[in-house]
Order: sequence, then structure tokens, then C-alpha cells
Amino acid sequence: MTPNRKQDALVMELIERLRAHGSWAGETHVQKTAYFLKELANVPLNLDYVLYRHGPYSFDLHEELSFLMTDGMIKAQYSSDHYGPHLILTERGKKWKNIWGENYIDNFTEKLEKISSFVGSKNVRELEKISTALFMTLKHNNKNDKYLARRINELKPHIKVNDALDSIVKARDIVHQWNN
Amino acid sequence: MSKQFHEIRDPIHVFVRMDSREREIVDTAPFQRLRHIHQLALTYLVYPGATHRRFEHSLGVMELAGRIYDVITADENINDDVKNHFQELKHNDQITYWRRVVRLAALCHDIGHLPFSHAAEKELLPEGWTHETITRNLIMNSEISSLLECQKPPIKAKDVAKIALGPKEWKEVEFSDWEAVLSEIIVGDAFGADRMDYLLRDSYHAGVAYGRFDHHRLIDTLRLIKTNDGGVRIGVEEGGLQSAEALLLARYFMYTQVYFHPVRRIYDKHLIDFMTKWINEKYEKSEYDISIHLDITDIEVLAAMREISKNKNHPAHDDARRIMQREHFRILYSHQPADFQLDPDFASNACKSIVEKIGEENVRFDSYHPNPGHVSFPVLMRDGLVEEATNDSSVIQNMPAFKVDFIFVNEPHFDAAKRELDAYRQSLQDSSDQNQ
Repeated sequence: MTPNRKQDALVMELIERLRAHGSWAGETHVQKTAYFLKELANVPLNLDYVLYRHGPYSFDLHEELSFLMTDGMIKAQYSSDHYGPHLILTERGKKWKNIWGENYIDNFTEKLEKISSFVGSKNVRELEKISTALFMTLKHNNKNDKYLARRINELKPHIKVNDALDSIVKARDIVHQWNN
Repeated sequence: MSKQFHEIRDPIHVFVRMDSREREIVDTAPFQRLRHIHQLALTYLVYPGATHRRFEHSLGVMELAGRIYDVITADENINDDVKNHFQELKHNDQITYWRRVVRLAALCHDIGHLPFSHAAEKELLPEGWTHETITRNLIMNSEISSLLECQKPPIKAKDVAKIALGPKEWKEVEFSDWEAVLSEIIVGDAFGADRMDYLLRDSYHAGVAYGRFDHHRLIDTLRLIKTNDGGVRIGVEEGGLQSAEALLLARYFMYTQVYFHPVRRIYDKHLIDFMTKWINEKYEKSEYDISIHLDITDIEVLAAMREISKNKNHPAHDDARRIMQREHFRILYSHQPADFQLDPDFASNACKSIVEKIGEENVRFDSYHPNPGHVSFPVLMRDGLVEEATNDSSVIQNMPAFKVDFIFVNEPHFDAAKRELDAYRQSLQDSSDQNQ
């Protein structure tokens, strides 16, 4: 994977914004934030998403985070809260984020702020439901809500049909608000 | 009375056992072709014993995948939370069906590999194709799919293809949580049967100890675990954590000592150069299809390489000679932490500078930065709580990451390239000193 340093800068900025909004900024939150940025806010992130762990997931982003850790730009902070590690920028990461992101990150400040604020306040279960609903509504835009809700329940049995329906309504509302 | 069960001797697993239906798949042309695809490409030029093929590796993955499936679906190893999450676990016919699917998927997971495995994929295949695309086509559209459908009860070829590839390599289809977990049995980052087998097998044949770990203990402790955030994933009981750590360490050492051995990597580069020129003589990239794929193995490539290494008029002569007569490019540079501190992209930027000086044809660049520690899985503690492995294991927290940045140079231009590299480094140092 050839590094895309502008995108790396954006991902690092995303991590900092999530933390600023009180999120523990584990990989799940970073994954979902990047997904919303890409699909809702049309931020140019070269990431393919599939339905996987806790909803939409990018193996490309997982690799990118892995490389950023190897490069010493971000590190994992472990905790005793029984969840995965938090991600934080190192001093080296902050320096190179500013260099790589110069004249680039500023183009997306408002979108980053809005999405980070939305995602940062949610736990993993909520994020999974809403992001999965968004993924399915965007992918199957010619299907009705009942079909989508049943399909979500088939793929992810722990999301009950009623919960899936609620999430689909919320997802459509978010898309509507974003587009207006 | 014909035999229903068969055994094949194997240096890693002692025996690989299969039934007649699996044996039919082994006997197909796409699978038999794997007898002639080296598992580690030209690594045998560095580690002479590493001549093993994808054939026996695929049998080994099937053996391990079956064992893993049996352990994680055993009734005594599943609690009600997990059964309620995966309804399939409540029906014996479903458990039996998916066991067959997982073993067949493990058997077939590599049938799409090109000659010499990963080396030349991007250069040889049409846009958008990978060896996984070919694997999918072979499972779903060849004699294999017919055999699967004729089994009693029939096996859906699409199920086998999905589990063999996983959501990472087949993005267009939706995977249920159950299918994603089954796929992880084979291709999972932490405990995949593919990784377990190739670490053990490659280590054995290369004659190194690095890839060994206690896979018996590890498999015995694998479990389906309901995690704190509501999902179900493959993890380990607390007693198996050290075996999991050993696997990750084995992976780290095999990467640094075998898979990313610099001479092995430069041979890969020369092989890509050779295969690109040789195969372009035979067909256009866009014409590559399944019948061409089945026709070409390592045998054809090596035979052509031998011949062309003696034919100075052939466009691929230099590339063939570099491999056959061991005249590979020399290593000029490998990753240095001090350079990396100056510039995270030191190696690629230095390489650009060297290319400008001595020409692209005299330089090869190789870069790879995996982080084996960035692997997460749940651990079922003795007190019944579920912990993330990264929180509980100082070994995983401190797993070393490594960077591969190699610059290789054609021997006659070595001194000029060295001077350019030193000049580039000095310019960075001067710039850094000025900024302080």
C-alpha cells in the first residue's frame, strides 16, 4: 500500500477531533467516522467499505492505521475498560499531520467537526445500528424500509427488526438533514 | 467396498484426512495444478529447502480449518449467548453443512494463484482482477461447482467461495455475522488456518525455527465469544493467550527473517520483470482468462526462463539471466531509524533521487510496513469476564512493528547510487539543522 500522506493527515485530524468530542477514539469509532465523512459529507477518502465488524468497515483503513502506528504517528493507549485500545497522536504524528495536511485539511474542517461531534457522542452499539442502516439504505436505495430491516436482521441477528427499522428512519433523516 | 475416507501423509500435520467428496475436489484439474505452484516463489534460491507447493499447503489448511471448526462449535464450548446470536448452532444439519463448506473453502482458498504465487499479480492480470477473483471463478464456474452441486446433500458453490475469500476480498456480496466468522477460521488475521499452516510449513521447509508455535494448544482454546459491545468473535480462553502470543511472534520472525529477506525480495522483483515481458509475448493482459490460467504453472515459467537466459536477443534475457545466474541487483539501502526520523518517506524519496541519477532500469524499490501487533481478539477470562487481548497482554502491546524499505541497484551503478544516497541524506540533515 503506497502511503497517501494527505489522507493520512486527514485520518489523524479525525482522531484528534473525535477525542476533542469526548470519544475514546478506538478503531471502531474511527472507522465509522471515516465512513460518514465519505458517504454523507463526500470527503475524498480512498477507502472501500464492506459490512463487517460493527457495521461498515474498511480493511484499507485498518491497514492505514496499522502503517501509521508502525511509522510512529499514532499509538494505542490501553485501558482497563474491557474494550479495545484508544488511538492517540504522538508528537511526531502531530508534526507530520501539520506538514502533510497543510492547505488540505482546512478544506474539510467544518465537515470533520460536524461528523466527529455526531459520532463522538455514541457508543459502539448505537454506531453499529445507525451506520449499518445507512450502509443498507445507500446500497439498496430502491428497497423499502421493511425489506431493509429484515435484511439487516438476517445479516446481524443481534439487531432486531424493530431496532433496525428505527435506525433506518434515523439514517434517512440524517441524510436528509445533511443534504439540506 | 470402496474406501470412504482417505489419509495423506504430511510433514506438518502427520496425516491430512478427507472423505471421498473432498477427494473428488482434490482430483480436479484446478486443484492438481497447485502441485506445480511454489508456495514461496523463488525463496528456495535463498533457503534451498523451501520448495514446497501450494498443493500440500491447501490440504494442511483444510485439516486445520476442520479442527478449528470442530472446537468452536462443540456443544461444551458454546454458551447460550452465542447460540442465540448464531441460530445455525441450534441445528445439527446446519452445523454439519457449514463444516463441509468450511473444509472445502479451506481446500480451495488458493486455487486462483498465479505461477510463483504472489509475485507478479498486478503486472499479469487485467484491471480489477486478483488471484482471489480467479479463485471465485474457479469455485463457481468450473468442474468444481458441478461436483459440489452433485454432493448429497448439495453444497452451494457460492457459500464455499464466500467463506474461502471473506469480506475483504469479495466486497460485492454481503456477509452475515455467521459467514464472516466462518471465513475468519480460514483467512482471519489472528487465528486463520491459512496463517497457522503457512507459518509452520514455511518454517519447516526453510529449515528455520522461527515459525513454530504450539498450534495444538491454541486450537484447543479457541472459542466463539460474545464481546462487551454485543458482537460474537473468535477468541481464546485465557489459558490459550500465550499460544496466541507465540503465533504473533512467529509471524513477526518469519516476516523479518524469511518473507522479507532482501535477496528473496530482489528475486521477486526480477521475476516480475521477467514474467511481464514473457507473458506479454503470449497474450494481451486483457485476454487473460481461466483457460490461460490453468495452462501456466511454475514449470512453464522456469523452462522459459532457462531458455531465455541463453538467448541474448530476447527482451527478457537480462531478467532471466539475473535469476538463473544469480546476478541479482545488490542491496544499496535498508531501513534506518535515524533516516526515518528525518523523513518518514526517506527511502522512497531517496530512491527517486537515485533513479534520476542512474535511470529507472537500474533501480528497484521495495517497501512494506505491517504491524503484527495491531491485531485484536477477545479473551475469555477464568472469571467469565471478556477482555480484549490488547488490554491483557503486554506481549501484544509491545509487539515490534517492522518496516521494510529496500533499495536495490544494478552492480555497475552501485558507487554512483551510493554517492547520490549520501548526498540526499546530507541535504535532509542540513535542512533539519537550519530549521532548529
